[in-house]
Amino acid sequence: MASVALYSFKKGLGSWVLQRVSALFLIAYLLPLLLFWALHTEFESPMVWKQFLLTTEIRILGVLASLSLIIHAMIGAWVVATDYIHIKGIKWVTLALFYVITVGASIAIIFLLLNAQ
Amino acid sequence: MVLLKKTTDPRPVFLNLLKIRLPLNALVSILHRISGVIMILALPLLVLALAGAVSKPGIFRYMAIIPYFLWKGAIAAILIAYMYHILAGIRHIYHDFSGHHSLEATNRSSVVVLVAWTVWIIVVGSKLWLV
Repeated sequence: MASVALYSFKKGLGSWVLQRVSALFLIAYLLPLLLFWALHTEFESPMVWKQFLLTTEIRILGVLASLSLIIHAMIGAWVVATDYIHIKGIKWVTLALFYVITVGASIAIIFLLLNAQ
Repeated sequence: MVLLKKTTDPRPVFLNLLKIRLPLNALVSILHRISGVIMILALPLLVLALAGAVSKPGIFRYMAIIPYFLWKGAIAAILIAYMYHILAGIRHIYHDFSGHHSLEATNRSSVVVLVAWTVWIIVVGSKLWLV
């Protein structure tokens, strides 16, 4: 169970702080995106988005947000799954699925942001 | 279930989900969790959209697998979940640090979250479909 305990964030205060700090990083990335979208009418034009998403500042914010997403979504999924699913096998399979989606998507986003030109 | 078995004086169990009336702050809390789960499940879609946005135009062929109106609907659904999650999250942090834990205070902030969410949805929805 050691590997499981690694992801269960038994130290409550640690996950409490991590959840809030990572939330701030996510807001710091996603609010500029919402604002950019609100100020532009060329929603259909992909080049405008590409240029904006690949600005150095927004790119850095994006990578930080993706790393925060791993922390934030994993803690969130753990809290929700352990609250509602009381059958061990189903609980860990569900959690594993959520972890794989979260980590996979975050790594894919980081890869895309760092490699796109 | 283990807990229920051990109780000598079993508590009444009432689980008709259609008849349970959630208190306002319980509703705000469960929506926060639901919106979080929705956003995790929608992550692959966002990766695909990002790939389409930053890569060479060729990748739009892959995005075309999903019809445009479905993309728009999916993006709208993800935005609705995100807008809710961010508002309820701010409410969480507010109650963490403000020290206001009374029923009145939590009910008031619940109403603020739900009203702000509705307004935000209307603004974003009109941008998506009217502008």
